[in-house]
Amino acid sequence: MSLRAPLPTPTAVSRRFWEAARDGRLELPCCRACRLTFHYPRVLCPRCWSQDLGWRVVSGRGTVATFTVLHRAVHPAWQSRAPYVTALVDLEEGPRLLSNVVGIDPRDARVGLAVEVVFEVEGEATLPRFVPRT
Amino acid sequence: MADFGTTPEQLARIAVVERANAQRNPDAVFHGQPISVDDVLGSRMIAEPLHLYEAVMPCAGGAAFVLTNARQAAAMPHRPVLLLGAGEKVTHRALSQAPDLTTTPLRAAIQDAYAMAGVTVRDIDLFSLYDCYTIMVGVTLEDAGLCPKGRFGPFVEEHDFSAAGDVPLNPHGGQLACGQADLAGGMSHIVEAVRQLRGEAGERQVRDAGVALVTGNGATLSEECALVLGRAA
Repeated sequence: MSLRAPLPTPTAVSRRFWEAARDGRLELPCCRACRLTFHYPRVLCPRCWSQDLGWRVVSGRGTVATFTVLHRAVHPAWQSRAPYVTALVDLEEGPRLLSNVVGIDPRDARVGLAVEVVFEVEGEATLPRFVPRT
Repeated sequence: MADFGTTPEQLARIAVVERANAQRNPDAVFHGQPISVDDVLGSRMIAEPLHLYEAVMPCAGGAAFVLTNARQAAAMPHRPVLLLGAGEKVTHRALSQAPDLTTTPLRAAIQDAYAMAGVTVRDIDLFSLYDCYTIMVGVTLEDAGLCPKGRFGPFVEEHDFSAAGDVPLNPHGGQLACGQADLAGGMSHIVEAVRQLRGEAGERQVRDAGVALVTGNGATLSEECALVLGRAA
Protein backbone atom coordinates (compact mmCIF):
# COMPACT_ATOMS: atom_id res chain seq x y z
CA MET A 1 0.00 0.00 0.00
CA SER A 2 1.41 3.38 -0.87
CA LEU A 3 0.02 6.46 0.77
CA ARG A 4 0.76 9.97 -0.32
CA ALA A 5 2.16 12.13 2.44
CA PRO A 6 0.22 15.37 2.82
CA LEU A 7 2.09 18.44 1.59
CA PRO A 8 1.57 22.14 2.23
CA THR A 9 -0.94 24.04 0.12
CA PRO A 10 0.60 27.47 -0.59
CA THR A 11 -1.91 30.30 -0.44
CA ALA A 12 -1.68 33.90 -1.60
CA VAL A 13 -0.48 34.76 1.91
CA SER A 14 2.03 31.94 2.37
CA ARG A 15 3.33 31.37 -1.18
CA ARG A 16 6.46 33.47 -0.65
CA PHE A 17 7.47 31.35 2.38
CA TRP A 18 7.30 28.13 0.37
CA GLU A 19 8.96 29.58 -2.74
CA ALA A 20 11.85 30.92 -0.63
CA ALA A 21 12.24 27.49 0.97
CA ARG A 22 12.44 25.95 -2.50
CA ASP A 23 15.32 28.35 -3.20
CA GLY A 24 17.05 27.47 0.07
CA ARG A 25 16.11 30.56 2.07
CA LEU A 26 14.09 30.85 5.27
CA GLU A 27 12.04 33.98 4.68
CA LEU A 28 9.50 35.26 7.19
CA PRO A 29 6.99 38.08 7.17
CA CYS A 30 7.89 41.27 9.01
CA CYS A 31 5.91 44.37 9.89
CA ARG A 32 7.15 47.66 8.42
CA ALA A 33 5.22 49.62 11.06
CA CYS A 34 6.45 48.00 14.30
CA ARG A 35 9.40 45.95 12.95
CA LEU A 36 8.08 42.64 14.31
CA THR A 37 9.27 39.54 12.47
CA PHE A 38 6.63 36.80 12.79
CA HIS A 39 5.47 33.39 11.68
CA TYR A 40 3.07 32.02 10.42
CA PRO A 41 2.35 34.34 7.45
CA ARG A 42 -0.89 36.32 7.68
CA VAL A 43 -2.46 39.51 6.36
CA LEU A 44 -2.11 41.55 9.58
CA CYS A 45 0.77 42.10 11.97
CA PRO A 46 -0.19 40.05 15.05
CA ARG A 47 1.22 42.78 17.33
CA CYS A 48 0.10 46.14 15.87
CA TRP A 49 -2.41 44.98 13.23
CA SER A 50 -0.68 46.94 10.47
CA GLN A 51 -1.20 45.68 6.94
CA ASP A 52 2.08 47.20 5.81
CA LEU A 53 4.03 43.95 5.71
CA GLY A 54 7.23 42.83 4.04
CA TRP A 55 9.53 39.80 4.10
CA ARG A 56 13.03 39.24 5.44
CA VAL A 57 15.55 36.45 5.21
CA VAL A 58 16.33 35.10 8.67
CA SER A 59 19.38 33.22 9.93
CA GLY A 60 17.74 29.82 10.27
CA ARG A 61 19.50 29.43 13.62
CA GLY A 62 17.50 28.68 16.72
CA THR A 63 16.97 26.50 19.76
CA VAL A 64 14.45 23.78 20.58
CA ALA A 65 11.78 25.25 22.89
CA THR A 66 10.03 21.91 23.34
CA PHE A 67 9.61 18.68 21.41
CA THR A 68 8.00 15.27 21.25
CA VAL A 69 9.13 12.02 19.71
CA LEU A 70 6.31 10.56 17.64
CA HIS A 71 6.22 6.76 17.73
CA ARG A 72 2.80 6.68 16.13
CA ALA A 73 2.85 9.00 13.14
CA VAL A 74 0.17 11.66 12.82
CA HIS A 75 -0.43 10.48 9.22
CA PRO A 76 -0.06 6.85 8.07
CA ALA A 77 2.24 7.93 5.23
CA TRP A 78 4.77 9.08 7.84
CA GLN A 79 4.73 5.89 9.92
CA SER A 80 7.84 4.50 8.23
CA ARG A 81 9.77 7.53 9.55
CA ALA A 82 8.81 6.91 13.18
CA PRO A 83 10.20 7.49 15.69
CA TYR A 84 10.72 11.09 14.60
CA VAL A 85 11.11 14.42 16.39
CA THR A 86 8.54 17.21 16.10
CA ALA A 87 9.67 20.40 17.79
CA LEU A 88 8.88 24.03 18.42
CA VAL A 89 11.99 25.95 17.37
CA ASP A 90 12.69 29.48 18.63
CA LEU A 91 14.58 31.37 15.92
CA GLU A 92 17.24 33.88 16.88
CA GLU A 93 15.03 36.57 15.30
CA GLY A 94 12.18 35.72 17.69
CA PRO A 95 9.48 33.74 15.87
CA ARG A 96 8.61 30.20 16.93
CA LEU A 97 8.15 27.54 14.23
CA LEU A 98 6.69 24.04 14.36
CA SER A 99 8.98 21.70 12.44
CA ASN A 100 10.99 18.49 12.67
CA VAL A 101 14.49 17.97 14.00
CA VAL A 102 16.23 15.51 11.68
CA GLY A 103 19.74 14.11 11.44
CA ILE A 104 19.60 13.14 15.09
CA ASP A 105 18.93 10.03 17.15
CA PRO A 106 15.52 10.92 18.67
CA ARG A 107 16.90 9.86 22.07
CA ASP A 108 19.33 12.80 21.83
CA ALA A 109 16.61 15.45 21.41
CA ARG A 110 16.71 18.03 24.21
CA VAL A 111 15.02 21.27 25.19
CA GLY A 112 17.52 24.03 24.44
CA LEU A 113 19.28 22.08 21.66
CA ALA A 114 20.94 24.49 19.20
CA VAL A 115 19.67 23.85 15.67
CA GLU A 116 19.83 25.30 12.18
CA VAL A 117 17.55 25.04 9.20
CA VAL A 118 17.93 22.59 6.33
CA PHE A 119 15.67 22.31 3.32
CA GLU A 120 14.27 18.91 2.40
CA VAL A 121 12.52 18.20 -0.88
CA GLU A 122 9.31 16.19 -0.60
CA GLY A 123 7.32 15.74 -3.78
CA GLU A 124 6.57 19.18 -5.18
CA ALA A 125 7.33 20.93 -1.89
CA THR A 126 10.47 21.94 -0.03
CA LEU A 127 10.12 21.82 3.74
CA PRO A 128 12.26 23.73 6.24
CA ARG A 129 13.46 21.31 8.90
CA PHE A 130 16.20 21.58 11.51
CA VAL A 131 19.42 19.74 12.33
CA PRO A 132 21.67 20.06 15.39
CA ARG A 133 24.06 22.99 15.03
CA THR A 134 27.72 22.07 15.33
CA MET B 1 9.06 17.74 32.62
CA ALA B 2 12.04 19.80 31.50
CA ASP B 3 10.93 22.82 33.56
CA PHE B 4 9.53 21.20 36.69
CA GLY B 5 10.93 17.66 36.94
CA THR B 6 7.55 15.96 36.51
CA THR B 7 8.09 12.20 36.13
CA PRO B 8 6.49 9.62 33.81
CA GLU B 9 5.24 7.81 36.92
CA GLN B 10 3.41 10.92 38.14
CA LEU B 11 1.71 11.37 34.75
CA ALA B 12 0.83 7.67 34.64
CA ARG B 13 -0.79 7.89 38.08
CA ILE B 14 -3.51 10.14 36.60
CA ALA B 15 -4.56 7.35 34.23
CA VAL B 16 -4.44 4.86 37.11
CA VAL B 17 -6.69 6.84 39.48
CA GLU B 18 -9.25 7.57 36.77
CA ARG B 19 -9.32 3.90 35.78
CA ALA B 20 -9.78 2.99 39.45
CA ASN B 21 -12.76 5.37 39.67
CA ALA B 22 -14.30 3.76 36.57
CA GLN B 23 -14.55 0.45 38.43
CA ARG B 24 -17.65 1.97 40.06
CA ASN B 25 -19.14 2.90 36.69
CA PRO B 26 -20.54 -0.09 34.76
CA ASP B 27 -21.02 2.16 31.71
CA ALA B 28 -17.28 2.87 31.37
CA VAL B 29 -15.50 1.21 28.44
CA PHE B 30 -12.77 0.07 30.87
CA HIS B 31 -15.06 -1.10 33.69
CA GLY B 32 -13.59 -4.33 35.02
CA GLN B 33 -10.09 -3.43 33.83
CA PRO B 34 -8.11 -1.59 36.53
CA ILE B 35 -4.50 -0.75 35.69
CA SER B 36 -1.25 -0.02 37.51
CA VAL B 37 1.46 2.58 36.91
CA ASP B 38 3.59 -0.23 35.47
CA ASP B 39 0.77 -1.12 33.05
CA VAL B 40 0.66 2.48 31.83
CA LEU B 41 4.42 2.81 31.44
CA GLY B 42 4.51 -0.61 29.76
CA SER B 43 1.88 0.33 27.19
CA ARG B 44 3.01 1.41 23.73
CA MET B 45 4.67 4.83 23.47
CA ILE B 46 2.56 7.11 21.25
CA ALA B 47 3.98 10.63 21.48
CA GLU B 48 6.64 11.07 24.15
CA PRO B 49 6.06 11.23 27.05
CA LEU B 50 2.51 9.92 26.54
CA HIS B 51 1.82 6.18 26.40
CA LEU B 52 -1.23 4.46 24.93
CA TYR B 53 -3.06 4.29 28.28
CA GLU B 54 -2.57 8.04 28.75
CA ALA B 55 -4.73 8.81 25.71
CA VAL B 56 -8.48 8.43 25.38
CA MET B 57 -10.03 5.47 23.60
CA PRO B 58 -12.34 6.63 20.79
CA CYS B 59 -15.78 5.11 21.24
CA ALA B 60 -19.40 5.58 20.18
CA GLY B 61 -21.79 7.38 22.45
CA GLY B 62 -23.79 10.47 23.13
CA ALA B 63 -24.65 12.91 25.87
CA ALA B 64 -27.37 15.46 26.44
CA PHE B 65 -28.74 17.80 29.05
CA VAL B 66 -31.66 20.21 29.21
CA LEU B 67 -30.83 23.86 29.82
CA THR B 68 -33.62 26.13 31.02
CA ASN B 69 -34.24 28.91 33.52
CA ALA B 70 -34.57 28.28 37.24
CA ARG B 71 -38.30 29.11 37.30
CA GLN B 72 -39.17 26.57 34.62
CA ALA B 73 -36.79 24.03 36.12
CA ALA B 74 -38.68 24.18 39.43
CA ALA B 75 -41.81 22.94 37.64
CA MET B 76 -40.03 19.99 36.01
CA PRO B 77 -39.95 16.45 37.39
CA HIS B 78 -36.18 16.27 37.99
CA ARG B 79 -34.19 18.03 40.63
CA PRO B 80 -32.37 20.89 38.86
CA VAL B 81 -28.70 21.79 39.03
CA LEU B 82 -27.79 25.47 38.89
CA LEU B 83 -25.27 27.03 36.53
CA LEU B 84 -23.48 29.37 38.95
CA GLY B 85 -20.57 30.54 36.84
CA ALA B 86 -18.93 30.18 33.45
CA GLY B 87 -15.72 31.25 31.77
CA GLU B 88 -14.23 30.86 28.31
CA LYS B 89 -10.85 31.74 26.84
CA VAL B 90 -9.24 31.25 23.43
CA THR B 91 -5.58 32.20 23.05
CA HIS B 92 -4.38 30.64 19.79
CA ARG B 93 -4.90 27.94 17.23
CA ALA B 94 -1.44 26.99 15.95
CA LEU B 95 0.55 25.51 18.83
CA SER B 96 3.52 27.71 17.93
CA GLN B 97 1.42 30.73 18.92
CA ALA B 98 0.58 29.49 22.43
CA PRO B 99 1.48 32.27 24.87
CA ASP B 100 2.70 29.72 27.44
CA LEU B 101 3.46 26.00 27.08
CA THR B 102 2.71 25.04 30.69
CA THR B 103 -0.28 27.27 31.51
CA THR B 104 -3.46 26.92 29.48
CA PRO B 105 -6.31 29.35 28.78
CA LEU B 106 -8.26 27.39 31.40
CA ARG B 107 -6.47 29.35 34.10
CA ALA B 108 -8.34 32.51 33.09
CA ALA B 109 -11.56 30.67 32.20
CA ILE B 110 -11.68 28.96 35.61
CA GLN B 111 -10.94 32.22 37.44
CA ASP B 112 -13.84 33.87 35.59
CA ALA B 113 -16.15 30.97 36.44
CA TYR B 114 -15.13 31.06 40.13
CA ALA B 115 -15.65 34.84 40.25
CA MET B 116 -19.09 34.68 38.62
CA ALA B 117 -20.13 31.95 41.06
CA GLY B 118 -18.59 33.73 44.03
CA VAL B 119 -16.53 30.68 45.02
CA THR B 120 -12.87 29.72 45.39
CA VAL B 121 -11.18 26.41 44.73
CA ARG B 122 -11.74 25.51 48.40
CA ASP B 123 -15.51 25.50 47.80
CA ILE B 124 -15.34 22.88 45.04
CA ASP B 125 -16.57 19.44 46.14
CA LEU B 126 -16.15 17.70 42.78
CA PHE B 127 -13.70 18.19 39.90
CA SER B 128 -15.13 16.97 36.58
CA LEU B 129 -12.12 17.82 34.44
CA TYR B 130 -11.60 17.34 30.72
CA ASP B 131 -9.03 14.59 30.29
CA CYS B 132 -8.11 13.84 26.68
CA TYR B 133 -4.60 12.96 27.92
CA THR B 134 -3.05 12.64 31.37
CA ILE B 135 -1.10 15.88 30.90
CA MET B 136 -4.36 17.77 30.33
CA VAL B 137 -5.54 16.77 33.82
CA GLY B 138 -2.20 17.60 35.41
CA VAL B 139 -2.06 21.10 33.98
CA THR B 140 -5.74 21.68 34.83
CA LEU B 141 -5.14 20.74 38.50
CA GLU B 142 -2.62 23.59 38.53
CA ASP B 143 -4.74 26.03 36.53
CA ALA B 144 -7.74 25.35 38.82
CA GLY B 145 -5.65 26.50 41.78
CA LEU B 146 -5.33 23.13 43.53
CA CYS B 147 -1.54 23.35 43.52
CA PRO B 148 1.14 25.80 42.33
CA LYS B 149 2.37 25.83 38.73
CA GLY B 150 4.66 22.90 38.04
CA ARG B 151 3.59 20.94 41.13
CA PHE B 152 0.89 18.60 39.85
CA GLY B 153 3.36 15.71 39.96
CA PRO B 154 3.79 15.67 43.74
CA PHE B 155 0.10 16.64 44.10
CA VAL B 156 -1.15 13.50 42.36
CA GLU B 157 1.10 11.38 44.58
CA GLU B 158 -0.20 12.95 47.78
CA HIS B 159 -3.97 13.01 47.27
CA ASP B 160 -6.90 10.62 46.97
CA PHE B 161 -8.96 11.25 43.82
CA SER B 162 -11.71 8.70 44.49
CA ALA B 163 -15.32 9.69 45.20
CA ALA B 164 -14.53 9.31 48.94
CA GLY B 165 -11.16 11.06 48.65
CA ASP B 166 -10.01 14.56 49.53
CA VAL B 167 -10.03 15.66 45.85
CA PRO B 168 -12.86 13.81 44.05
CA LEU B 169 -11.81 13.81 40.38
CA ASN B 170 -13.92 12.37 37.56
CA PRO B 171 -15.71 9.76 39.72
CA HIS B 172 -17.14 8.23 36.53
CA GLY B 173 -13.62 7.53 35.31
CA GLY B 174 -13.41 10.45 32.91
CA GLN B 175 -12.85 10.02 29.22
CA LEU B 176 -9.59 8.19 29.94
CA ALA B 177 -11.61 5.29 31.36
CA CYS B 178 -15.07 5.79 29.82
CA GLY B 179 -13.79 6.34 26.28
CA GLN B 180 -14.15 9.52 24.24
CA ALA B 181 -17.37 9.64 22.25
CA ASP B 182 -15.96 12.34 20.00
CA LEU B 183 -17.57 15.73 20.74
CA ALA B 184 -19.89 14.12 23.29
CA GLY B 185 -16.81 13.24 25.33
CA GLY B 186 -16.59 16.70 26.79
CA MET B 187 -20.31 16.68 27.56
CA SER B 188 -19.82 13.60 29.74
CA HIS B 189 -18.12 15.82 32.31
CA ILE B 190 -21.29 17.90 32.62
CA VAL B 191 -23.47 14.79 32.81
CA GLU B 192 -21.37 13.36 35.66
CA ALA B 193 -21.39 16.65 37.58
CA VAL B 194 -25.18 16.90 37.25
CA ARG B 195 -25.66 13.32 38.47
CA GLN B 196 -23.36 13.95 41.43
CA LEU B 197 -25.04 17.24 42.39
CA ARG B 198 -28.45 15.57 42.21
CA GLY B 199 -27.22 12.79 44.44
CA GLU B 200 -27.94 10.20 41.75
CA ALA B 201 -24.43 8.78 41.29
CA GLY B 202 -25.04 5.53 43.15
CA GLU B 203 -22.00 3.76 44.57
CA ARG B 204 -19.67 6.46 43.27
CA GLN B 205 -21.61 9.29 44.91
CA VAL B 206 -19.44 12.07 46.37
CA ARG B 207 -20.93 12.74 49.82
CA ASP B 208 -22.60 16.14 50.19
CA ALA B 209 -21.49 17.25 46.72
CA GLY B 210 -22.72 20.84 46.53
CA VAL B 211 -20.47 22.62 44.04
CA ALA B 212 -18.68 21.18 40.99
CA LEU B 213 -16.08 22.51 38.59
CA VAL B 214 -16.43 21.27 34.99
CA THR B 215 -13.82 22.00 32.32
CA GLY B 216 -13.66 21.61 28.57
CA ASN B 217 -10.78 21.84 26.14
CA GLY B 218 -10.44 21.96 22.39
CA ALA B 219 -7.88 22.11 19.59
CA THR B 220 -4.30 22.61 20.84
CA LEU B 221 -4.82 23.36 24.55
CA SER B 222 -6.10 26.61 23.11
CA GLU B 223 -9.90 26.87 23.28
CA GLU B 224 -11.18 26.18 26.75
CA CYS B 225 -14.17 26.70 28.99
CA ALA B 226 -15.09 26.21 32.63
CA LEU B 227 -18.40 25.88 34.46
CA VAL B 228 -19.26 26.02 38.14
CA LEU B 229 -22.41 24.02 38.84
CA GLY B 230 -24.28 23.93 42.12
CA ARG B 231 -26.88 21.80 43.88
CA ALA B 232 -30.30 23.47 43.99
CA ALA B 233 -31.40 24.42 47.49
